Amino acid sequence: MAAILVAILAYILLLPYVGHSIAATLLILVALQAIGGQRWPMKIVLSVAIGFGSYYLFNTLLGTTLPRGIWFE
Amino acid sequence: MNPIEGLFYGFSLSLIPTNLFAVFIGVLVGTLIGVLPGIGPVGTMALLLPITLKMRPEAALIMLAGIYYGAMYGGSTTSILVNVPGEAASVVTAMDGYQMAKKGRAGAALAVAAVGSFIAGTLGVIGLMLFAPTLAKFALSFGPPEFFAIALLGLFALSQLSGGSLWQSLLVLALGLVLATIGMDPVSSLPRYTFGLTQLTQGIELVPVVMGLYGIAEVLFVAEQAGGLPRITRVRFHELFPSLSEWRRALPAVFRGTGVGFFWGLIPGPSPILSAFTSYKLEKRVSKHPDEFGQGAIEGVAGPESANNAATEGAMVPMLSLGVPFTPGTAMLLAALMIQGVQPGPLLIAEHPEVFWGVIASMYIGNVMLLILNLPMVGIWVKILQIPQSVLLALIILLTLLGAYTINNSLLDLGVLLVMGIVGYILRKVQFDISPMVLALVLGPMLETTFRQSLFLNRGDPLIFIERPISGFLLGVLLFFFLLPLIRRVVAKRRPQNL
Repeated sequence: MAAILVAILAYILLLPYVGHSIAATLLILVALQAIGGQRWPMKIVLSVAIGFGSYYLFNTLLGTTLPRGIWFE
Repeated sequence: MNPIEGLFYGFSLSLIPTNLFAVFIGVLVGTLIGVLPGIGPVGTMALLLPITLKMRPEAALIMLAGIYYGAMYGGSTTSILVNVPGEAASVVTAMDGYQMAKKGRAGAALAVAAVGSFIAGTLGVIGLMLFAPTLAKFALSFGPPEFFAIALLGLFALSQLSGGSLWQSLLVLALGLVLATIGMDPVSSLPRYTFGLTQLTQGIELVPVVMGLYGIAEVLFVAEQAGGLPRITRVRFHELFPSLSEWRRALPAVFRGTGVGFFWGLIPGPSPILSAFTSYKLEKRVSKHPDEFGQGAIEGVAGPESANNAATEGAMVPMLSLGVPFTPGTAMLLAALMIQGVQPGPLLIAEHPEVFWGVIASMYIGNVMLLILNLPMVGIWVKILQIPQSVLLALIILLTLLGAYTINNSLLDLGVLLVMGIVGYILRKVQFDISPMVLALVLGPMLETTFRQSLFLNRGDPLIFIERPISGFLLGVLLFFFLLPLIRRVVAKRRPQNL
């Protein structure tokens, strides 16, 4: 479970720099790996879909302002 | 307003499309998170708290209350079919419910659980409707010393009843009170323990704390045990009808469970869980065939399931009439009211009848919706369980992070979430109950303000707490609670000598 906690910490630290999409993709990937049950290609597809999908869903449809990341401004 | 007028008024409000939608979303989400392991009603209510800001007060409360009692319905489904209680209050249901499923009576168990929940839920609302206004009227004469005594009694009774040793609970309680002191001093308006952080002058945000304790910690806990897909018992629609003899055994258990549950709800403590256990023990005691319990006794499903539903509604009585929550779930409801600028307390029913009667009426509607959602549509919820657990847990982690971040767009809140997640996980690992912490965090400011106001009233003389009859009585009860373990020990020591 340490992996998940480190991933959450990494998400918090990375969020202002790389933005929500990439930070969330990494977080989901680590969580899926740590809990287990998926094959590798599936893990990557899922984490990218959830990471970028949640950015779109929250910022476009729910009107929140999740960071895009100062590296991409 | 008498109950009949109030009810008409309430229905006229809760039948407005937006409020009808709010109760539907509430019970739908409630059932969903009741089914899913890894997130319970308290964490979900915290998650949705920021969203309710944009809603009218009654709609906000209608939705959150829907989650609160809806989760009790959903929790039974997974207990019976998969032997995985989706919700802590359904642990008891799994004992006999899963055994019934193994014997091919899963349909009957589901039906009895849902109908029992419905009967208990509806009777519980009637109790709430009749009881809360009376209590509120009585509480109108309460001053700061009385509220101080009630809050203190609530906190300590919860610590006493929530299992584990008293000192464990008191430690968790103290931790919550310490967190509650961060921010602006409520009397002098000076910032304290803010370490120079401007954001902390508003105090620690409640949502990240609760989502850390109940969301992240729970996910970590479930993730450890996560394996492959659970084996799920299939249920067809025509199996959902218990036989006549099963009904005859279940119905008295439902009514007994309702009584037990509502009573437990009124007093401070983790009532849904405790009431389920009490009801189970009671059913076993009055049963003609106690040996069947644990082997699939239908009373063992009907009683506890009814009890936990009635308890959620009983627990709303002190919250709505006194403004004092006794459980983490009602603490969330109270937080929702305060965010809306609605002042909780004995005047709530008189000053905001739309909130009180709107919620009451919506609960009748919500219980009907839940019966439909949980019986004919049980198949859908079972399908949801087939989503791989890793994906589900990863999604819950992300949602809690997003929920915590979007309140203030602040990284500090995310930090609080993570730290509280770790704290909650550790406390769970060493089998400490975390609910005193949430309650302490919500009741902390009230405890402090009423304490200091009381002292102002009496020029700094603390005797005021004992001189006023009601607060004196309540503090006496508190003293009794404290001495109870000691009395028990003395009695236990004496007994062998007498034999």
